[in-house]
Amino acid sequence: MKFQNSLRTQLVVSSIVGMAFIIVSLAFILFTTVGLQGLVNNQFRMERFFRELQFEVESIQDPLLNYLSTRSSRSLSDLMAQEQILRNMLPEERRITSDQFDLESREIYFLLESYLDRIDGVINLKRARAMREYTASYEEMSRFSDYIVDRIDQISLYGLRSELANYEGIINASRRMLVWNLILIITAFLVAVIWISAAIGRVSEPMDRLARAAGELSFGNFDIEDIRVETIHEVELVVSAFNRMKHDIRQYIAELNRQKQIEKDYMEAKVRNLKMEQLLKRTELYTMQAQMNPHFLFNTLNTGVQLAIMERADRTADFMDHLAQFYRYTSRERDLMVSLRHEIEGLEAYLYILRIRFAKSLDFKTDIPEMLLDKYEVPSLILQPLVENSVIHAFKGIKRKGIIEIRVWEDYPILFLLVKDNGIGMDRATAERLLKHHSGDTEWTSKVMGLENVIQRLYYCFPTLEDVITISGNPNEGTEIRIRIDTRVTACIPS
Amino acid sequence: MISLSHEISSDEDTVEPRERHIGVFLPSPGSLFFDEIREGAEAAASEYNVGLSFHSINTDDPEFLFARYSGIDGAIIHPYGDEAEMRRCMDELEEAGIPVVLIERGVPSDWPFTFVGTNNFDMGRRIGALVGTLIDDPMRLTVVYSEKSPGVASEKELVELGITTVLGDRLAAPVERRQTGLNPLDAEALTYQLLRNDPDLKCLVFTDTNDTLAAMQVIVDLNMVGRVQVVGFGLTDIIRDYLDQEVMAASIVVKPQVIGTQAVRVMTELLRDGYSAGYVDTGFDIVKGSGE
Repeated sequence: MKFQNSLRTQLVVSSIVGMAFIIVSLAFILFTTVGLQGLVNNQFRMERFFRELQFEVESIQDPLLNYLSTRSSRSLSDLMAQEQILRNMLPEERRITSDQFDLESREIYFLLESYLDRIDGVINLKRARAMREYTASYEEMSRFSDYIVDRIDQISLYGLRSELANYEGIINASRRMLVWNLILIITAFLVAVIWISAAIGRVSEPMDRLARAAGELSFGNFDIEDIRVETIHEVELVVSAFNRMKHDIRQYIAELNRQKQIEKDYMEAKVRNLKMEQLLKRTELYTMQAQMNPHFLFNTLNTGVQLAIMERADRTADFMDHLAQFYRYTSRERDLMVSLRHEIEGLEAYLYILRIRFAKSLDFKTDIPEMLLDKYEVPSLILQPLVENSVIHAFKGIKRKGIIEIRVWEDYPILFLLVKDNGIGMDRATAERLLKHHSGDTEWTSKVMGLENVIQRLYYCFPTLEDVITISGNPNEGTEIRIRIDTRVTACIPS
Repeated sequence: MISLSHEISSDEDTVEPRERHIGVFLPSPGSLFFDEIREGAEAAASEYNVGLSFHSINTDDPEFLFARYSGIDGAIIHPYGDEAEMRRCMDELEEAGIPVVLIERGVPSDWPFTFVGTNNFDMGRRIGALVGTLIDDPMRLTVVYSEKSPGVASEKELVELGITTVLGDRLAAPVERRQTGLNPLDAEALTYQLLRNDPDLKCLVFTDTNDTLAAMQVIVDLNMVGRVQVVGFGLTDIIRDYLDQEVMAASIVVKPQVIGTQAVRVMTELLRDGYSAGYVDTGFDIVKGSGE
């Protein structure tokens, strides 16, 4: 099979077949030419034969006369020889047909045979010295001979005229034969060209497809289909190698891409961790700056609490106790993720202080189900900055009493944390600026505080949650900051 | 190549093998009568699977004299020339085992030669009956025989006997007998001579087609149409026109093709069975114009 499909075999077979067409056509032309010559030769063969026959008939009269005149053995020998020549010329088969020429020929053969038989009779008469009889027979035989010669003349003339009548047919047939030969040569040439073109196509077509496929590969398209070729063995090998090479390159490139993606993910995680650390450090610094000397402040606050108790100022004692709790929460908290209960406890201490501080101007409402407090964890210090942001910015220039609402609820798998105020609201540009993702801006991250710090930390902790925090609201209609945490997603905590 | 050889040797391809070889001996060609006999014989040859070779017949002609040596299986002969020599040659043929069938003309012989042809006595009777209706008494009738129709000419006595049998006493004089040669125009001069020498001539009977045509031309030229009744011979288109225009009274139409066909049939029977009918009457018609 491989041998049959090899390029060499294909080329050799194509060449042989193409040549065979030409050779066959030339052989046909030769055959027809020889055949035409044979036909023409056959047409005149009988005329030549009758001419020879006539010559021999005329030649036998002299030996006959010599023998009858001299009775010599030499003349008898000549006569017998001539007679034998004539007998040998007579065909055995004298067929009867519908053709006048055949019947005339047949009659001549019989006449000649009778004539030769009568020669034998004359010889016997001569031997018997029957002078009168052989003399009379000689006269009759002379007439007989002349008649046979005339008949041969007639049939030759008849045959010649017939052949002359056929001459135009021969010429026409010859012309037609030449036309057919020309058509045959053209046909053979076209067939040979088509055959060779097909053979070349069988070789070149897969190579052309191979070249186009190689062009696609050069442009980086490795998803092209495999080339299927079942023609030339050598081409099949090349195509098979090409397909293997394409698959290998595609796998190699996929492996490179995969490794590159891993490295990229790793680097992104590393950068995110660094930024998170920076944020945490900043938060810590902010907290530390805010609390001045925490130990001194705690001790002082505790002293104040004891003093208030001794002076029976219970409300003051409570206030100072919550203030101490809040500062303890903000200054001591080091975990990135804390339970929701822990986050809410810190917030409640902060709210207690704010309620004392802004008892007339602000009202704080909380709706935090107890069942959720120990169920989920959240990034630490994400609610207090939001409440602080509202207290600081939401009620500037407003006379009415402000309301800040803190809600937590679950719509599995999403945990919602909401801080909402009825303050002056936030314009869209400010909201978009705050919500901007600053993952690659290391300089910026070193400066963020409060709300922005919370937003960026949430982005770092939940990089896959696109709307982990949203800000909505319009000017003079308040602001709503909503945190959406998919509880199925594990927070991305730097190690 | 196949078509090429077929075209060149087309004659050979159409040649069919035949079972018997029959020689047909007819007087020299040139007569429509013999041409039609030949056509009839050739048509029958294929049917009876025989090959026909045609030869001229004359007692001086070696073609007939040496016929017995020519390998033929049978001879169909229209006797012509010296009757004795003819009979001698036919006897030799029979002696050589070659059966002979005579057409149109009988030859007295010891051999019972089979005859195929027209009953000339009956033809004479039909001519007499026809002439009896064409002219009034006393009748004078001239019959022109021809070497071109030797069959009728050789049996002129039978023809005239038939005429006389019918007309009898109505004839004012014996039937006048005239003869033309092989020249197809002989009848023209003869007719002209007859009409000039005998102004009372009322009826002419011809026994050859060529003679009929030539004579009719003279009668038309001399404006003798209607004054001289002509009974012609044969049925060419011109003769048919003469009949339709009533320029000619009637024409005797023998059946040469039937003669040729029947001769071949009888010869085939002789060769195959050794015997056949001794006499075959091929019949004849007397054709008048379409108006009658």
